Amino acid sequence: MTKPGIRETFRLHMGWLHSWVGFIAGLVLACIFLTGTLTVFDQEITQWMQPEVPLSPLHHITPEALQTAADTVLQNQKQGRAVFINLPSARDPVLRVLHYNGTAFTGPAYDPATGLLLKGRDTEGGQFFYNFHYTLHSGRIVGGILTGLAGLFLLVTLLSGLIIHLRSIWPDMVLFRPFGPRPRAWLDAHLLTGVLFLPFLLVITYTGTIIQPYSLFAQKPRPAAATPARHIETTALPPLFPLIEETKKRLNTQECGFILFTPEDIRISRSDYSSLFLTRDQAIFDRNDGHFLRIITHDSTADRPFQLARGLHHARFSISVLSWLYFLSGLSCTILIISGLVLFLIKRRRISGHMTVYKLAEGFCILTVAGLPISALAFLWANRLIPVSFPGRAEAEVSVFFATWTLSATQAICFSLARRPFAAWTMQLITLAALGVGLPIADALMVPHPTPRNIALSCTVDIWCLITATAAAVAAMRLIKKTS
Amino acid sequence: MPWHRVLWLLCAGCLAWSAALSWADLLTAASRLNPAQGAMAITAFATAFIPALIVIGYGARMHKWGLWFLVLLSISGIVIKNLAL
Repeated sequence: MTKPGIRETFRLHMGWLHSWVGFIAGLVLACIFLTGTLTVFDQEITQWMQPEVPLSPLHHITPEALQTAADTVLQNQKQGRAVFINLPSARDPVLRVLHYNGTAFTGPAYDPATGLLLKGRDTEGGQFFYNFHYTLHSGRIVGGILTGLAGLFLLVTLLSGLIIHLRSIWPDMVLFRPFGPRPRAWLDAHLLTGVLFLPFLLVITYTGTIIQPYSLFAQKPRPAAATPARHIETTALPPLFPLIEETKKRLNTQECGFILFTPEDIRISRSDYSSLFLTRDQAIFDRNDGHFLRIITHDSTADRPFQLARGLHHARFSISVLSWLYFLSGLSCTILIISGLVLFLIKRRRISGHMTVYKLAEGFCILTVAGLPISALAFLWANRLIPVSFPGRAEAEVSVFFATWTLSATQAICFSLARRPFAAWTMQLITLAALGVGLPIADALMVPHPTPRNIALSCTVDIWCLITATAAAVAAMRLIKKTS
Repeated sequence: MPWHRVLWLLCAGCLAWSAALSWADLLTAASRLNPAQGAMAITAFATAFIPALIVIGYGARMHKWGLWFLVLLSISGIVIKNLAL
């Protein structure tokens, strides 16, 4: 009779591992998953945050437009700034000249047909969420290590969670009692999302962990040191249009993605949208006269799994429906993590609720679950409220995000330590609902949308703001009813 | 939070890390991959096996030989790697 006993003990051990590793990593993972979910539509968020840029149907790029972009590249290079050209695609039908400002790629947009400058407000846009997703805004090395560790801990939590619930996977998959007792409803939500989205969660966590640029396990060899940098050429660039056409032929692709400029050469890469495998193959041309030098491809068998992992994780190949599926799956995984965090607190409130550590844990949970969405909405609000001509407005938007989060954290921790966590939850949820309801109104009043596609984009963002507001309002009302 | 559990988890984590990395290193080195591909392979193997080994290692608390199994696994990886390469 020892075997059943041993199995039960093993499941109990896994319960402890699942709870504690899950809670501590979950605080970080909720941030990673929420921003990652938003990142599925990073370009669309940037477009929403630059409502002045008209989103016309994709036109073929013209040599004139490319020449205008090339002139901008030269002007930037004269100022010692490294820039590149982002070619238009179906998702982002404008030509952009981008530079890295320390946290994101920003720069002016041009009409791909006429080369006219499309004056849009300065913003980091969806790039902010993208960078936050894999660096936590703490630098590529520290952030990369933190997110890599969080990914490993999520895999540990997943495995231990599977062991705990293995016997009841089928009942868990079909049972949801949202109006049952509170722990039951949260547990149902946790198990339902956990079981249904398990394959997605496994794939996205594993691929996300292995494609980290700063690997936890093996340092990727750096390319050989470049020859001493010569004076950066700022003389006229060769015509770029024929180079793009030649790249398409050489790389056998329909679309090109970026044009990079080094002191010696011009590099045109395959579009990320052209294949499930994210290869970044390049054709290289001489900078002076534009003659073809060579192509760089990564098509060995050993490279393919990583290209597939990158492609699956970034999902740039995907059509609109598939992107929405990624978005909804990411949202479900965020709900899985959030419900796990709340469940952890509910289970321990009666026994450990008086302990300072518990109060701090609840404060952190509030600032993650409610504070981060509030800050994300404040970021979008800042985009509408900060004047277009405000100097350094992109940085100001980011500052609003972090100032709001700091306020939320201070309120959550102070109220939790003062034994008023429900008040903190309620206030933050009501704030979230108010911001969500107000944003569509502010958007409609403050910004004209130039094209039908801009209007459709605006409506989509408005709908999601209202969904967020409704969910927050329902949660706040249930909390008020419970505590009154 | 009982600290002996945390200590056990740390031990299991370190041993899992060591075991997975040494075995991944051994397997990729034996495959004669170039350094860039080797680094990718090590990352892929280690990411897959470290969580599993942590779960096994922590679960091994219930068995008196559990932790020794992980110690043996990690030492064997290091020894074989050094003998083989």
